[in-house]
Amino acid sequence: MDTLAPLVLLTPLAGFLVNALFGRVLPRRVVGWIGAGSIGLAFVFALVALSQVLGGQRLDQTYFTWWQSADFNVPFNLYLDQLSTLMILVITGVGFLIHVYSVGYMREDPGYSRFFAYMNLFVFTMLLLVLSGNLLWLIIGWAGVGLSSYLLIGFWFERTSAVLAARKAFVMNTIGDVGMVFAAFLIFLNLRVLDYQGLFSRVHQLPKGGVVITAICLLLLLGAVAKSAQLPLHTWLPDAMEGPTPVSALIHAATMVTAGVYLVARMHLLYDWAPAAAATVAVIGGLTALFAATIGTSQVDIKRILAYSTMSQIGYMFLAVGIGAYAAGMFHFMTHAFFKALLFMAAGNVIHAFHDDQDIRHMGNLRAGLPITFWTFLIGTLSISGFPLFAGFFSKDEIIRAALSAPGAEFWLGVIALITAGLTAYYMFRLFFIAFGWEWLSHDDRHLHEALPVQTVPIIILAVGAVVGGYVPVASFLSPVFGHAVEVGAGAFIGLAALSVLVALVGFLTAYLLHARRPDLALVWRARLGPIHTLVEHKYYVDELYDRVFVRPGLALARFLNDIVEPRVIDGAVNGVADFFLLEAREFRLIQTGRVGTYALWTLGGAIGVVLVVAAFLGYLPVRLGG
Amino acid sequence: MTINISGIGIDYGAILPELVVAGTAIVVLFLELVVPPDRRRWLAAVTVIGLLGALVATIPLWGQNRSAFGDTVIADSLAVFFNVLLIAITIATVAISPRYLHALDLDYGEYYILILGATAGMMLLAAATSLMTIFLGIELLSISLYVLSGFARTTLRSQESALKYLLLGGFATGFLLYGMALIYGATGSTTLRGIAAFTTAASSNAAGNVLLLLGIGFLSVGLAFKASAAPFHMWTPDVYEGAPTIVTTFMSVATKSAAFAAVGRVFIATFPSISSRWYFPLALIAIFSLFIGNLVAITQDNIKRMLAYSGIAHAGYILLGVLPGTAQAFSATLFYIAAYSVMNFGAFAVVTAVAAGGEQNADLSHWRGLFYRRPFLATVMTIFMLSLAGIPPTVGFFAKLFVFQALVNAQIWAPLIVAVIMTIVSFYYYLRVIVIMLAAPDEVAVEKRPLGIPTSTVLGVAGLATVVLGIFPAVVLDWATRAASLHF
Repeated sequence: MDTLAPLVLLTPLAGFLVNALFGRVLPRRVVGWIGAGSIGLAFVFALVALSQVLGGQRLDQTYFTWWQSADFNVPFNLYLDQLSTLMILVITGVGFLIHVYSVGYMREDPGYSRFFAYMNLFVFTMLLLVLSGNLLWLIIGWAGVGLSSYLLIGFWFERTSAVLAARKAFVMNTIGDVGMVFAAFLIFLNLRVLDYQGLFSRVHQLPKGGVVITAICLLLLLGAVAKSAQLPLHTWLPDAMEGPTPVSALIHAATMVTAGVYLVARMHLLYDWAPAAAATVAVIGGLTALFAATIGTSQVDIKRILAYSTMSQIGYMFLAVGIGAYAAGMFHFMTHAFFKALLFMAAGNVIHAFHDDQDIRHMGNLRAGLPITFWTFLIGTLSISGFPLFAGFFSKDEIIRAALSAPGAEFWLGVIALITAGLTAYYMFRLFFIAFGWEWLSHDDRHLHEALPVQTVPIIILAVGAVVGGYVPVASFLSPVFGHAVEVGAGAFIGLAALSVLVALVGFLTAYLLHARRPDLALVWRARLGPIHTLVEHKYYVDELYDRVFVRPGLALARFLNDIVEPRVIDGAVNGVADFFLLEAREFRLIQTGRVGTYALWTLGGAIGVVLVVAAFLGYLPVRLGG
Repeated sequence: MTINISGIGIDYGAILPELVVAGTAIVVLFLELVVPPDRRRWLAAVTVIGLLGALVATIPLWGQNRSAFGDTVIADSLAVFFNVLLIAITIATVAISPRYLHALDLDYGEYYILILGATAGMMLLAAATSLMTIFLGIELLSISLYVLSGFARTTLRSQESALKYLLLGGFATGFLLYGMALIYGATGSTTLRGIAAFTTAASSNAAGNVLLLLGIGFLSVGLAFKASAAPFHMWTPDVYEGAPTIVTTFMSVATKSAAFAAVGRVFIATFPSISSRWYFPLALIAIFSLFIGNLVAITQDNIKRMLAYSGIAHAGYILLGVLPGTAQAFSATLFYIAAYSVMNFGAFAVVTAVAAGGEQNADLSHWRGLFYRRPFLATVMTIFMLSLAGIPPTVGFFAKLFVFQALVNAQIWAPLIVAVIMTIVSFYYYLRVIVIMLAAPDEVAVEKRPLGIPTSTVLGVAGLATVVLGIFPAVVLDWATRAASLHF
């Protein structure tokens, strides 16, 4: 076990190093094999780890001390319990499928080896984030996934929009990173530990619900919100769709963006100890779920719709972990990884078929041209909309049930979650009907070709996961970490299930009516909803708001500093200091005459100086030194 | 009178590494007679094999505490630490030598003999526990280096530097010997153990003993001269500039390391009880070195002179770790020495490689656009410059951090403040090299002259070590801590 965890971690790193250093000279086939194979190998190791965890083993092993200074001790330790096992299984498993898909999807890209190097780097840093047994390495992994996400969003760096999107994502994430670092500072200041084991055992020394613990949890939440694209740091995720589609599937749907959920779940003892912070998590999650879902109803770019859907689904997970239903949140993380990776990869096939056009209004009638993509996308849509017996149904239901059955104000979050479930069904089927539907629009399907098997087989495998993933007993698997969830009676179970199915049906029927049966009605309703529709279509003008409030004043300040303060104040001072040192240095340089006599004289002078100091010590001089 | 040989404690095992190095020198001396002139690279190979043998011989001494030859040498972890460091430096030097010597038409076998002689002297100095063996080590290394400095027989500058080094070195040796004589006069002992016993004895009043304090003062003059600390540094820029670059590479790191081994043994192990007496002169020397080294480096337009002043400044940083007089702080010094050896050796090795490529003049203007002509050299040079400046994630950052931390723990503020300010000043000249290398070249002509496998390996390893140790400093720090603590 103590060799298994480093193996999981190091295989993707090895893949990254090989592809980064030698990728350009290796044949493409080999690059792809190494890229996907290293993740596959890591998945095999993760499976072995799972068997050992199921056998009751856990791991908290320190491999070396990275840094030791007085009582500041940073070990490199890996922490493998049920929670991190679930995470590494999804990261390497779904990651492997997406890597295989990329072999086909990226086959004509000139940056093939660079792509796989970045992808492997991402998987490595993500695994580091999940497996780390202390806050510092967690933050290193956290920053590492931010870096690889930045590199991959800007993968096509010749496009201005991609570069801008990458920059935006990086800046937003850095805001969160700062929060994480400050949280680590506060934890170390108050508890003198950075490793999880010590942290979890000492957290109860802080007063429950006190300022310190609440501040720590809120700062951690800042990091989580930025990484997981929750309100109000969500605006980078839709833009991140500028990256290649496998990147969207792996990083911006299945794994990295759920790191915030993992963080709250990992730190659940802290959040249990800070109820106010936990409530904030839940409220942010609930609001984001609803907010993003409403935006999803009005977008026309297939990847952006999926991006808003991701935000919304992660909102569910935040809601779950915020109200203490940690296992439910992680369950939804797993099923979401299946169906959302599926949806993105299927969307990638469609985008390729339409020559990189992402507007759903230009698509249609894909059943004949892309049958595998069509049916798998339908399965994904059914799963995310929460249709009975699909994976999404079970996991989403568990969250809604936990919220509705909780005492107090969580009830209203449950209501929001229910409304969101209806909206989800609506916008997903709207997407499906418009992009895949049987309405013949303007194309000739003879041009449409199904993707290669290397792209369709991973999607089919994920489709299986999107169906049967709901039967995986995640809650009981995670019970050693989070404790047992409260059992709900069969009556309540069936009642709530029926309610959520009903809501999903309403969403589905609305979509069917407006976008499949009577498209004219959609136009009428859009006109009637006028200003509301405009508001939603423009994503509530949040980007514009940030532009006015932060970006433009920031630029204005920068310009002021650059044009006024910098040349007159800073440069003056800096150059003054530099000139002073240069002047002094030139004078000192004159000592070096090149004559041996001068040099000997200096040595003698130094020796005399030493003699004088000794004399001063002994009291032979009027100046006294020391005792 | 009969001499009881076993009473002296002859233990050849304790000095086996030194013996192997000296033996290799003798072997090379004879081989030189039979090896044809165009096969002199074989001598380099033999030298490396001999040094590897010395490395093998030194490892088992780790963790031991074997005094031998009447308390004049010791085989302990501190000696092993320096032995490994010095042997590694020498191997790296010898590995990159043949190409450089060939380019300068200096391909003579005496070169390897002298290098081995200097190494043996340095290793002896690191193991010395008597004033006599300290002197023996210093002279062995000095005389070898005097000759090596003038090894470019036909170059006037090389001759000049050798003569300057010899004259000033002789002058400093005078102080060193005088100091030793005074200490012997005051304490009646030449072994460090005997001297330490005298200073700690309550009756001796060591803190008020004029002879002893003057002796320590002159001893520190001599050692500071070898470590090229200001104001005893005057020879350094001229000698570094004039000597063949490969020799400069070797002595800039090896001599300094060996000198600080002696500083550690003398000041921290022998005179801890009167640390209030030597603290002040040493602090002044450190501050002087930081000040002069960093300031004058700014104005240099010759990279060898610039690195010479940078070396003076680093002598100051290294000396800072000695000031608190504790084993914990001394481990920071040892770490700094190891870090400095890697990065400074690398920097000079790049200068050597550039010189062997035809640019004999080490003027910085020739480095303009190096990045476009020799991307590999410029890249590793960038790493070394960043590390010498102390920018993470390089080993130079942790080296400075540990030393500064030791000063904070000991509440020594004035030298610390000078060191921090001077570090900022140093950014100017280190980063300037990077700027010059990155500046657009006057004409773009990619040089395709290969570096040769030994040189590129040495540079690659040094560059990699600079970064890797900057991320994982704990390994070396752990060794340094054990080497510093086991002895005391």
